Amino acid sequence: MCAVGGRGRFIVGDLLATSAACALIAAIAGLVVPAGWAAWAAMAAGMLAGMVLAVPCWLVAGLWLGMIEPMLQIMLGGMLAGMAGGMAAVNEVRSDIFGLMLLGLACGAATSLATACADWALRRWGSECP
Amino acid sequence: MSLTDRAKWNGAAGSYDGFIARAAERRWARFKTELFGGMNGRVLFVAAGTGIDFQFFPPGRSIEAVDVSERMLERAAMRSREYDGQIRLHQMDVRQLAFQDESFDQAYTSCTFCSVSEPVEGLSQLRRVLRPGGTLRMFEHTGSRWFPFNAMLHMCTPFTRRYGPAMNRPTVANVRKAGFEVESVTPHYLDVVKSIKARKPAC
Ligand SMILES: C[S@@+](CC[C@H](N)C(=O)[O-])C[C@H]1O[C@@H](n2cnc3c(N)ncnc32)[C@H](O)[C@@H]1O
Repeated sequence: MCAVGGRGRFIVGDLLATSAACALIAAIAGLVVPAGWAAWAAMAAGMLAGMVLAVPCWLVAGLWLGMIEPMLQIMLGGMLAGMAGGMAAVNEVRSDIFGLMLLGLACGAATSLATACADWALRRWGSECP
Repeated sequence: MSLTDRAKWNGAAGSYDGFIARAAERRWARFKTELFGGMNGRVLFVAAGTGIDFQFFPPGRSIEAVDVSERMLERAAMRSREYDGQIRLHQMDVRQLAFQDESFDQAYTSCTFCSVSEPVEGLSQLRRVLRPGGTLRMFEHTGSRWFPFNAMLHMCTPFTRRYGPAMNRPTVANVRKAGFEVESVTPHYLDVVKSIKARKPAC
């Protein structure tokens, strides 16, 4: 029998941690990517910066939330937030640090919610029952 | 005995409880309690680690718990004394178990086969020491079958494997490779954290 598990009560913690981490990542990526770069290069650099910056964020969040779940969410969200931050930099939004953070917050929240939905869907339909 | 597994986990033992285990235990307590609640007969538990799983064992059982790392076992010793039943600790590599063939009714694992270097070898040993029809119950984190989670886990593994577990193990497939019949797989988080129930064929 394939039972459907659950984890509900950690969703809010994951959401807050991922959003906060991504706000930070987007702001930093937006500030470090040079304004004159081509869009693709800014996105790639932002994504790379997001990946690197996600590691310390994950390690801190992991102390409260467990290692595996925040790792997946913060790495994914961080790459997205880094890309968005990089794009914002070439579009001259870089001076608006709050705008960058808001952008990151949105990326983090979207990633976390999308992951929660994917989790639900995979538990519902994606089981690898024999 | 594998020096790499042993040396790595001896090194991780000091920070394991505070850094890795505390939050994960709160998160996974419910699933582990449910899985370990089925312990019965002669039980083998791999790997003891620092003994944080013992709190989820049902009381009154008699359990042989093994781990390759003596530093982990030093910490587990205190927790084993607090258990309301019997837990005997053995420093042993799961790939070279010093137990007789078909001498256990059940084998349990908990975040173990992310860490054992040759997982199929270790699982084959579990199959050897289980009696025909004996059960294998595993709480494990594994690789994922789904994008983008599988990509993330492959990306993280070269980093995590240096200090601890691999994140991308195909554990359900490994259980089958070792000759077990998989009875059920219950996902707890994405396709990554799961309980696996399997059985050694009766003949
Ligand atoms: C991630 S920890 C899990 C420990 C514990 N079950 C828990 O959930 O906290 C992995 C454990 O597997 C042990 N281990 C690694 N390789 C092993 C091997 N070849 N044989 C036996 N134990 C091993 C390590 O020493 C470590 O304690």
